[in-house]
Amino acid sequence: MLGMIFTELLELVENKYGYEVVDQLLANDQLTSQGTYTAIGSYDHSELLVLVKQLSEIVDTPVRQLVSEFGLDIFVKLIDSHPQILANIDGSFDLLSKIDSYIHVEVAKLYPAARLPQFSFTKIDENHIQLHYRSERPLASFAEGLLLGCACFFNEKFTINRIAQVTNSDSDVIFDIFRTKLEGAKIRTHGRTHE
Amino acid sequence: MGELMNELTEKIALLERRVNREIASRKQSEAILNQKSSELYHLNLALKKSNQALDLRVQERTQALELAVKQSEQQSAINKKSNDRFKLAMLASTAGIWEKNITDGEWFFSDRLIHLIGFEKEQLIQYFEEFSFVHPEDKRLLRSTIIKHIKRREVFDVECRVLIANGYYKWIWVVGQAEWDRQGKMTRIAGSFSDINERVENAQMVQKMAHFDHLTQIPNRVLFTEQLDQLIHLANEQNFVVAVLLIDLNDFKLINDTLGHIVGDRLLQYVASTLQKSIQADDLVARLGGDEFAIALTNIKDDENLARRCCDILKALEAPFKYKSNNLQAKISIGAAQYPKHGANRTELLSNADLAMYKAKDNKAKGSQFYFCEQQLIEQRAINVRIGKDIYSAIKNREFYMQYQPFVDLAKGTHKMVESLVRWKHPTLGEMSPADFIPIAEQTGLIIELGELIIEMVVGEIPSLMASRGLERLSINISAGHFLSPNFLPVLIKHLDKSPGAAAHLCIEITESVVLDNLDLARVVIDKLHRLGLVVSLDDFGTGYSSLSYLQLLSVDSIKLDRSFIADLDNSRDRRTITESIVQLAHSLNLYVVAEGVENARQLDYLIEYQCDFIQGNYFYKPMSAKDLLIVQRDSQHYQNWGGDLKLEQCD
Repeated sequence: MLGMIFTELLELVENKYGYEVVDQLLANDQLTSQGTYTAIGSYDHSELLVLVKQLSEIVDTPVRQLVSEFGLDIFVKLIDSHPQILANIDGSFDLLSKIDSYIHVEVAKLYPAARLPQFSFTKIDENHIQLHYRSERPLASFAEGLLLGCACFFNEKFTINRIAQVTNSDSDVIFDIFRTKLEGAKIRTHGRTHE
Repeated sequence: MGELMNELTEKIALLERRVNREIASRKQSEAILNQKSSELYHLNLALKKSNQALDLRVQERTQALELAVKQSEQQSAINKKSNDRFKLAMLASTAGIWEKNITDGEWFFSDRLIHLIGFEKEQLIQYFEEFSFVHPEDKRLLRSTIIKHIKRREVFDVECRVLIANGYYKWIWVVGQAEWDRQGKMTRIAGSFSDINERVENAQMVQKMAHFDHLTQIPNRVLFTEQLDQLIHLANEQNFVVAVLLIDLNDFKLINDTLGHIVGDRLLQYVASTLQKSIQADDLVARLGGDEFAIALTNIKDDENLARRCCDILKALEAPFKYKSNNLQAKISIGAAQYPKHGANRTELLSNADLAMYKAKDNKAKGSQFYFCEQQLIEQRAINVRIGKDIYSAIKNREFYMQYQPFVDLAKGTHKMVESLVRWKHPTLGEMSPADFIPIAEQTGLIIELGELIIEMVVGEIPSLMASRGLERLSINISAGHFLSPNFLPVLIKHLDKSPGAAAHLCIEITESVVLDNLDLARVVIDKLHRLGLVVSLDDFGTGYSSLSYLQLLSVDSIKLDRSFIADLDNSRDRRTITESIVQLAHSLNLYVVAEGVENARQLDYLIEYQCDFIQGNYFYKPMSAKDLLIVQRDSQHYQNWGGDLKLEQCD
């Protein structure tokens, strides 16, 4: 898994809970990398789960909530790192419809070793879609956080219902998404605001 | 304080861990970056190599492309030239081009073809599709040629007649070739039309000239030969009789000589046309040459049937032929031979019909005749062929010898002139009559060699015979063919040179046929003989044409009345009158007259009365050897020396 996810997560944790919490997380001896992460490195995805699970325990907040909270910020960070993605994108559903066909194609060019999940897009109506997530890794919650971040980025609100294809699976999930457009709010980006 | 210290210590420891982590992260980043840098470096190297390889490949491909473009341009130029040449050739060619694209059914015709045939393209397409402009008689050939082409796939060509816009058929040489795809389906067929009308018509004309007689427009010998062979073949297969008739006009030469060649030609045309009308569909008629015609009759039932067919022909020619002021009747002699009984092939049939024809000609005085070939005739000819061969060896072996028969001078009773007569003692057949072997020698051409042998023998005898006083001239009989042959005079002179003075003692006896063969040449030869000191006598006078004008034209020195006149003196008053008149006429022309074949006193009396100059015959002397002749001469001299008148004594 890309090191950037880990460094961003740790930066967010530090910003929100202080470096002491980060220190506790990194002191965990379950981490194969021994808590040393760099944005350009690549690490086992299980370490992310260990970190999130431990964070949940430390701050006494459910994992899902945590990942949802981090989702927006990570989404903004990702977009900020690769602003060209937004060219020719018309709204959140348009972006989500192009994950497999466009975004991941470009990601694969930058990171040939990356093993990317699949997002099958089905439009139900103007504000209702289904996004089928399938991955080697059980990161459906992280993906959901990113979806929420995406909604927020486009000044929208997603109501997401999970339909697990396999019981309790976190690697094969259909997200049933209803979209509500918000008024007056601003689009957030990392370090900037968009009118 | 202690708490603060602890807190600070913890803080420091935390910061230390953080710094350590940051350092570890930095080192990790540096390691990764180093690795990435190395990877990038190698990637860059690989990329460079790849780029170089790519450049090289691009360069190669560019060169190949340039070469291909160049070749393509050259090929295009060649194609253009080829196309231009083809167009020029099409324009210059006398052949019209046609093509059909079988796949789309599209037809192409060159301007030349359209000009040649003369129809519009749409009409031409219909004609080509249906073959409807091909002559009905040629359609089958064209179709079978194309079917054969489809089977063998070799270029086809055929000559056929094609209807052109002016409504006439023209001979066209059609050449074509089809194309097939890999599945064997015909995709295209193309070819040419060449106008060969003139050539074909010329060829037909040449063919006609080669096979038809120009004057009479009936088949000639060549075509008759071919057709007769086919007819004999058919007769053999279907078991029917074919009769070959050889027809010769009697005395045609006389008509030509007296009335001119134009009349002669018209007569030949009339005869040809009449013969053509008098035969049936399956029969053949031809002019073999000169005045000789041939007919082949089919389905002859028997001799009676053949005789009736011959009579029909003779009857058809009975009607007189009128040309200007001339009113002629064609008299013919027909000789007939039948297949298979008179010959197994054309050569035998024609040869045997020829025999029969000459037999018919023997009776030409009675008018038109026909004669059927008989086995006896064929056998006789076989004998003649054998005798002919024997004559040849007899000349080489000098089996011939001479006998002499004196002429008696009626006024003086002397015999100063002697006729030499050739004799042949055949090794197995014994003494042969000249009447038997002379005609064969004449037919075989051996008469010249025989005549030369006779000249040699007689001239050789002259010195010894002339030593006997009283003999003045020896005569030699020379046949017409020999007399007019180029070697006659040189050979004669050669032998005379061996016996000086012999020429003055020699007389050449010729017959009227010399005159008929070549009057002008005969006159030249006679003149030369006179200059050599010889005299010339016209033998057998009174037979044949006996034109008295010849006597003057030929400037002969004497005539010999034919023995037939002498034989009839006893019985025929007319003959006597004619004989007397001939003697008087000859005397008026300063010619001596010799009567030959005198057999009795009554004949002698008439001849004395008519003042004939010399007589010859068995009544006085039979032919004798040189030795006997010398005895006769000696006895004759004995009488004269004793002063007695010579009595005309009869021979024993």
